This record gives sequence, structure tokens and C-alpha cells, in this order.
Amino acid sequence: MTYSIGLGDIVVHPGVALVASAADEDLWPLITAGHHGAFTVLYERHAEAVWNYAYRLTASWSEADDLLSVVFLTAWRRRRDLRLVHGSALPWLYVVTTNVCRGERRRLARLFRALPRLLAPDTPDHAERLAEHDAAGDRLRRVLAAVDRLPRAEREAVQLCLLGGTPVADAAAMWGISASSVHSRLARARARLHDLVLEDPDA
Amino acid sequence: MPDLGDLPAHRPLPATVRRDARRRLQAGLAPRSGRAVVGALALALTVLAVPLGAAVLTVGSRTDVTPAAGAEIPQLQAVPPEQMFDARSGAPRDAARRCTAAGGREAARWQPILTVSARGDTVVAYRTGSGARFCELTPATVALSAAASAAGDGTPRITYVSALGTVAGVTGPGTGDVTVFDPGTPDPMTESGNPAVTRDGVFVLPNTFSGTIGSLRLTAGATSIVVEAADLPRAVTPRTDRPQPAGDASSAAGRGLADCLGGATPPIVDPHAWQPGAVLALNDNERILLGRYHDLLAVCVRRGAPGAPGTPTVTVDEGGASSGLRTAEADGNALFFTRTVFYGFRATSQGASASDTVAVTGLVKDPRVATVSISRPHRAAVTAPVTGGTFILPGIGLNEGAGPDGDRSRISALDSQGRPLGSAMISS
Repeated sequence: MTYSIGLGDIVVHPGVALVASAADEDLWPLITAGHHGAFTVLYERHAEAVWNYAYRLTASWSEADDLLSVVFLTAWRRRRDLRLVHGSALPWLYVVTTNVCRGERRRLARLFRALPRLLAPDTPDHAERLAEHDAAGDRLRRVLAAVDRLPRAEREAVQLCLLGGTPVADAAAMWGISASSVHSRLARARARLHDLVLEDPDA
Repeated sequence: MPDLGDLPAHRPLPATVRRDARRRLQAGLAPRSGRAVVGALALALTVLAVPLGAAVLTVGSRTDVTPAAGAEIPQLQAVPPEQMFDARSGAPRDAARRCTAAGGREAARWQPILTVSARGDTVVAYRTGSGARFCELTPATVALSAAASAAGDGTPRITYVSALGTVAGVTGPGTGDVTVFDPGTPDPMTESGNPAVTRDGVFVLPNTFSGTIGSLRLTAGATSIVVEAADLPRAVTPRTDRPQPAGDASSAAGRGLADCLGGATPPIVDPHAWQPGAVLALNDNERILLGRYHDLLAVCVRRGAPGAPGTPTVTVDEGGASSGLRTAEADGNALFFTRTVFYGFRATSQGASASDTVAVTGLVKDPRVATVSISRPHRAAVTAPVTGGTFILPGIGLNEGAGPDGDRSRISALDSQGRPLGSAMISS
């Protein structure tokens, strides 16, 4: 049963058609006003990109599966903060994904610290271990371990632009800074990643 | 250096993952019924009652219904029917007095089950010796249904409909929530219709559907029944027991308001008693007319070609949950309430229309309020006079204050000397 009570909050122009082809900028005012149908259209459009991005932040497809709905529920809860970048909600959804992943890791870390004897840390079943123990996944995990050690501004630039594939111009608009600043953060991040590898060849 | 250029390729999202995430998302969107809340409370109490080791297992088992292992679902706000229709047990004294007066001598023995209200329409459900009866009240009128009992198998049955778009009926005591779908009423709350307040063998949806109800579909659990128009009870003609002063039918504003209210869905209570309020042309194509009746605010937006009367869209608001979520309205206060209206829709390349501009309309509850003013981050304040107990603040951009500090604005109420009487925050 889909609840669409948000319609009661607004007076919709008779010409408004909530179709899958409606642009993010068409959906945006409706979502901000609480329109569930419009948000569902946004979900269907960006679910795949968010799922892939969640994988690139976690190196785990099963975590990406779980995070997908959490990201969109969080996005719904924070819909008043929704920002379009060049007509797209995707960069903002990537930011929400990054925040959710970071929050989830903090939460799990707290849980493991609190319950060291009761909960064994991360014991995936055999099938998952086999499925995820691939070379690409290993490479990604090494990348993420190094990226996690970057200062926040550089880490977020790497996550959004290099892991998420967001154009530098969109990331700049998202953060309200110049494109050259984003380029600069990325350059510093690359240099620092290089240094991190020299410090720790296993990274 | 880790090779950032050799990342795993994007994969297509498996249909099962998409579907499961959508299901969890919709579970977050769905209203929590009273039963579900009780269930959640029971679960919480169970978790608290068991030893810590078992609690960890319980957390793990919750992955069946939560998006991430151990993660708490961020529940979305929704208005359940009990809240939307202000459901309360028994009957308020004045309502009971009017209903029993309409019911005659035997009404003294009726037992009130519950009372629901929406947009000036109040329905009291009674248990009587010959079955359930429904008493519908507006400020001016009263209508009383015939007594009726549920079928032996508990199948829901509609026993009362009214020209105010109210549907009510009886059901078995063990029947779950009842949902009513009217094909003639736009924008049902759920795919299966509008959830009724269901309690103790009765269900009620006050002032929800169009005034001329045709066939309806009732859904209760896995059971779905179509009730043809011919099988519905005849609408009861209400009787005026509390005459109200007539509204202004002579002025242009009064006539304009009456034109709007006449075609509203759901129908307006006591349409001849409304007084016109503020009127404003928003642009060449859109005009707002407000009306007031006691503490009810009618917002009529007419849209059409320049010079043409346009098509009216009417919303009645009473400052509560009966008009849905109040996510973009002023916080509750004793001076006024608001109803935000989008306008200035523009065509998009995809053939749809979109707007991020709103007019904040409202009703003033304190007679000292002479003007209202909305302050906005980085924008000049907008001030409007109070007309007929109502106001319109146009030209508010939805995202104009977006940023790290949010886009909250403040509405202030001022007296005739310009002295502030109070204010409330609003997310615009």
C-alpha cells in the first residue's frame, strides 16, 4: 500500500503529471512538499547509481543492498535540504550516501566496542565470502583503506568525484566552491595517497 | 598508490534488490496503524525484558524488516486516520446533546463509541439496542442514520453515506482496518483507498469523498468488496438545529467565494454561512480567494487564462491534521495557522509543470491581529493585512534560504499599532 498523503499538502496544477520522465527539477518542489509519489519516481531513477556508489564506499555488495533503502529513507527525512546540481538530485543523493555510510560505520564500531564478547565482528557466510573475494573487490578495499586516511575535504572530493564519478563542476556547485578548488583537493588527495602507499606498501 | 582508475565497473541493479529496497522504502512511507504501533511497543518491551545476549539476537533478527543489519528504520511522518480525523472515545458533551435530541426519547440509552471530525464535520458513532447509528453534525445541521448491525460473518457493510462525502458502516469486532475507495474522488490516500477510523465494530470516514457517492470498494484485510451505488443506503437529509448567520452573498468577494465552494470535493460544510476573506491575484492566470467559517479556512485557487474565471481548487483547513501533514506550515500557536499553496507553475521540457513558489495563506484566531509579516533569510520581509480574519503572504520561494542553517522563516502577528503579538517558525 503506497501512502500518498503528501498530495494533501499542496495544490497541484491540473497539468502536473507524475510520470517516470519527469525531470528531477520537476519532482523537487513536490518532494520538498512531501509528495511520496514524486519521491518514488526519484528512487526508481537513481537507485542503481546510488547502489553502485554505496558499493564503492563499502566494497561490499551486500552492504550496498542494505544501504540502498536506508539512503533513500534518510534522503526523504532530509528532503528539505535537497539540492539540485545542474538539474540533478544525484550529487546530493551521493552526499547522503556518504553520510549514511560514515554513520553506519560509526554505529557498528560503537556496537563492536560495547559488545566484544557477544558479537563477533563481521562474520559473513561462506557464500558471501566467495562472492566478494574477487580481485576487483580486493583492489577497491585497498583504495578505500587509503581514502579513509585522507583529510575530510580531500576524502569527500575523492569519494564524490573519483569513486562516484560526479563531474568536478557538479561537485563544486554542490559544495558552493570553485571548480579549481575541487581540482586542487583532488590533486592533493592523489599526492597524499601516493605518500600513504610509500608509508604502507600494503595499502 | 591505489589505482583509482581501476575501480570495479558499474553493475545493473538486480530487480530483486531494487524491489526489496522499494518495499522497505514504502514500509517507511506507510502509515503505522494502531495495531502496528502496539506490535512495535510489544517488541520493544520484549527486547527490554530479555537478557542482553538474547537482545543481540533480536537485533539480528530485525534485519528481516529493517533496511540494514541492526539499523533503525527512520520512520517517515504520515498521518494515520485516528489522528487525521481526531478520533476520540465517547462523544463531546455538546455533540451528544445535539445527537440525542435528534434521536428522540430512546436516544438516552445510546452508548457513544467514538467521535471523529474533519473540516467542521463531526460524526459520532453510537451503539444502540438495535445496532450502530451514526450522527453527523456540522455547526448548523444534524443527520442521523438508521440502526444497523454487522453481518454474521463480520463482513464490513456501509450503513451511512451523506452529501458531505461521509461514509460509515459496521463490521465484525475482529475485522482489521477498513479502507474505502471511491473512483469518483481524486487523490486517494492509499492505492486501496482512504483508511477509515475502525473501532469496536464500526468504521467512519468523515467528509472525505465527493457529495454524490457512486459505487465504492471496501477493503478489510484480504477481503475486498465492491458496493454498487444501488446497494448504498440513501443519503440522510440533514436538519438545521443550530441556524448560523448567512454569509456575505452580495459582494463580489462573497459571490466569488460561493462559486468556489459550490464545487469542492469533499463538500464544504454549511456553504451558505461562509464569509469572504482576503483575495489576491497572484499573476495573470492565478488568483486566491479565502473564506472563513468559525475557525475553518477555505483556500480557493482559480487557475485559467487571463480574464477567464479559471478552474477552482478548494482546500479547507482547520489548522490540524485533517488536511494532511503540516510539514511546510507555521508551528502551532494561539494566534494563527497557515496553509501553504504552490503557484506560478511553469511548463517543463518534459511536459509537466513545476513550481517552487508558494503563497502562505492563513487564518487568524486572535482578533487583535491586524497584520502578519514573514521574515526570510536573505530576503525582504513580506507583510499582509488581515482581511476577514485571513491573510495571504505571496511570493515565498521554497528554497530561498537553503543552506547549512536550513530555510526556516518566521511569521509574526502584529496588532493595529504594529506591535508584535507573537510569532511562529515556518519552513518555507
